[in-house]
Amino acid sequence: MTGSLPAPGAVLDRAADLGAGTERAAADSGVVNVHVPPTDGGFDPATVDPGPDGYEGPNAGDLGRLAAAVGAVERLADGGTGAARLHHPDPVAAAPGPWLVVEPLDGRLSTVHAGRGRLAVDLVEPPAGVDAGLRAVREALADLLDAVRPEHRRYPVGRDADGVFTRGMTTLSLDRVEARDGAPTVRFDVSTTPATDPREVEGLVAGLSCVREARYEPVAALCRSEPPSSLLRAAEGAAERAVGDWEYEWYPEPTVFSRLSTPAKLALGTGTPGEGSFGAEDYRACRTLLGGTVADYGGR
Amino acid sequence: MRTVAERFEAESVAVAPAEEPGIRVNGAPATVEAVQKADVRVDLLGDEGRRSFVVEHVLAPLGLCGVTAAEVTGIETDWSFERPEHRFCYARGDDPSRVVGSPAGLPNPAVVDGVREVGVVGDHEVRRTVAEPVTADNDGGTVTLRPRERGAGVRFEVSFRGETFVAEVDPAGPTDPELVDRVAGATTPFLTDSAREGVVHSVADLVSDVAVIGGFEDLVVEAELGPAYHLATVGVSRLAHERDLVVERRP
Repeated sequence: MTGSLPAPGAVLDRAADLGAGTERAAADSGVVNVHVPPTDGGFDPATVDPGPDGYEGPNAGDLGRLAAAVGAVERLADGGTGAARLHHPDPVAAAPGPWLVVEPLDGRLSTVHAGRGRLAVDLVEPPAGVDAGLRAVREALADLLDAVRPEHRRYPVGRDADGVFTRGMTTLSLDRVEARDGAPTVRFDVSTTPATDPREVEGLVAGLSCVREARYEPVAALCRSEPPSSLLRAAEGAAERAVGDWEYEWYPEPTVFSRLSTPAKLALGTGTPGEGSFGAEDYRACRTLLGGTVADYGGR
Repeated sequence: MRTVAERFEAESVAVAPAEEPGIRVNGAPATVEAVQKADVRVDLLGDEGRRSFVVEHVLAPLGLCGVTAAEVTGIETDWSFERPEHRFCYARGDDPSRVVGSPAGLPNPAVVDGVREVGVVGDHEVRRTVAEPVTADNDGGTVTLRPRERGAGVRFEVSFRGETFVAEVDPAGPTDPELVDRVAGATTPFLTDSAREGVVHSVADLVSDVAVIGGFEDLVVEAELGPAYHLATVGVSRLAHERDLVVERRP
């Protein structure tokens, strides 16, 4: 044991026990579905060190959130108000009832997950000669990266490391450069919002002299769920108890949440993506958030 | 009470005369009890869990203009998803009119213009101060409220990011127009690197959080502000109320 966190090796067995009844319980109504998708690489307890302040290691966040979900569902099954079924490792998408998807949201609630697209930019043929060709490609890449840099007339998006502003903007990140035959193609991943316009994305670079053609391709649409208002109110109350206030924020990319076909879904959870640690306070708050949401929803 | 003589619209908000004392934003009273969030911004909680966001940027210009009663309504209809408050509303199913703060991060100078154009009517006789000094000392900074004689107004002595600024404001009467314009034209420190502009802007936030939300007309306010300073500026108002230190005085 590490504080109130369970030993890492015990989490998967307990999750498996709870998940074993999922298929059978899928027919039950009035039950809230809980799923913890991996966002920090998975649930391998061998990568998680039970340090003095909580879990540490590459999978600490995923395993910690799964431990919190297991703890909350076990407690509800042990006579609490409301009922939940844990879907692990995979969600049974056809299960009735609303869904709580546990993700690293730092105590916030989310009904919106950003969409994803791709931008392929074909460069003009570089000049002959190794030096001249490399110089042209290097300059073209610099021009492209400059052109796709986020800008805003009011907000300091250039130093927005936490995504305070850019999380709601169409943003591009370099994926790769391909140069198999002839002119190189530069590929970008695009994070999309409801305001994303494919022509505007292409237009960011289409006018550059180094660009022959730019093509935008949608990959995953932005997801905006519509959970029952009673579930939202329950989650808001639980968040106030768990972290002191309730706030909504968008998740920065499509996840399992986006692919669940039901509109009755809400994402929530603690921890920060890629942080490599999940402390005792994260665990306590995540359990309170989940258990309180299910209990308050079930009690209405 | 002093209210606006007639309804007007400014950037992001409409301001209408009130029939009862106090300022309400989208129906929520601007009181310490209604504050849901106070750190990098101030949100008020209304019916059915609906918030009004960045209220300090409309309460400040009203306080600077000596308006003590008004009905404020958000009128924004377009989404600006780069603003976290708009993303919040979109995610919760609320509309963008819940966000009443100016997109430019200013203590809405258009509200100042509107009040000047329509004028203020009525008298504000009850004035409040504190019975004894009260201090909030937390992650938002250190703010002390001290008693002041009736009718003196509020004296703000503020330090922030190494800069200091002193301002005399009567939240229930006239204030030097040049000071009002300077404060209402100062960008939030979250959007400017200028420490000087930041400390001037912080006076607007203090007018909102101490004079309007706290409900004080006569005070000396000593403030050493940190990054998320609404925690301290609303916090000290909350402390004064919780400790029953609010003193009402009539002529």
